[in-house]
Amino acid sequence: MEKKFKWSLFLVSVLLGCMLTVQFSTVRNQSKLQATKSTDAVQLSADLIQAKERRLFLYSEIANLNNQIENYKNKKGDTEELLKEMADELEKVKMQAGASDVQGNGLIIKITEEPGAAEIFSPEEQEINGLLLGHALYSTVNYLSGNGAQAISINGHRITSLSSIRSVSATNLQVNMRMIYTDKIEIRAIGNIEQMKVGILGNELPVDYAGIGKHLEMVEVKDGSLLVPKYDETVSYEYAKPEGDNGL
Amino acid sequence: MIWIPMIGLALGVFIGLAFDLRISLQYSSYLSIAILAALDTVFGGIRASLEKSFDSSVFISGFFFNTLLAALLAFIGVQLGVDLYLAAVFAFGVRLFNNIATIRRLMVNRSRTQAGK
Repeated sequence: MEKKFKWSLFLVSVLLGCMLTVQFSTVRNQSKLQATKSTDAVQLSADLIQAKERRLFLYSEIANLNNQIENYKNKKGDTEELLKEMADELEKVKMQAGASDVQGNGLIIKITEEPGAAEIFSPEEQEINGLLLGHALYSTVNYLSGNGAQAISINGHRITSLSSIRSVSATNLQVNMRMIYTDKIEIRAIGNIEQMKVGILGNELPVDYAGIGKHLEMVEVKDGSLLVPKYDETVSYEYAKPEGDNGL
Repeated sequence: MIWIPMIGLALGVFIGLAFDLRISLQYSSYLSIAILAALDTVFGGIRASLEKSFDSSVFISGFFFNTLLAALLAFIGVQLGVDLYLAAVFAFGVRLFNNIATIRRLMVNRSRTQAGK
């Protein structure tokens, strides 16, 4: 009986082992499949949302272009008016891109040397301050843009999407790759004056400038005479190309 | 004696892995119930052996019958829309724990008897 028992127990255990392995393999494979499926689902839903947004964007673009075509068609008899319309459109685009001078109400922010800064800060600290000035200017432009500034220039250099502000060294601060005079910096910003002032004062930028030995002063221009010059650098697109039919 | 099911299990696992056996996902729930029934039978067999009442025919027939019955019960439950497999899980689960408890007691008693001698 003992021998029979051993053999039957052995056979049954072999079968049980087989069954367990089959079940483990199947369940493990199933969880892998489920993980892949859920990833796919997340990816697909994200793609779907993007595609929907793109469709809405394209619809609005089609509507705009149809309107433009209608305008041109309506004015096709009058070539002069058509040209004027196209010139206006071009001017609008140039203004938005920063390729033309703009004028309006806004703020002039003057950043000058804090009186007595030379005595307060050691030569090493002054060197660090010079390096930090670029970052402070960058923050200022950022806060102005975030508070409704529609056109900004620093010492006559227009800030656009291609602009750069960087401290190359303590005495070499560059805006749009051009070295600027750091003893007297003038930032011009056209936009909602009150909102921009809130952006500057609310983020305690005068305190930040005082920390690096600079004095910030704001002058409001409300008669619409504030001029922000155009971006005067040559733009050459080597890598970025206009989107084609296949791109977004 | 414990090494017999261990070797058998290891051999079964080896065969399963070597042949990379898999079943369709829809049948995996039936197999899980069948495994429970098989475990119950194996522990029942070990218990019967310790109680000196082991019958090979009962053991083998019990293994296949219980396994198939459990899977069949689960299948019928799916067809009827009732979770009948829960009945199998409950019944075999309780029996499994009872068998394991009895085996433990019997082994403890046996070791005590041997220590007494």
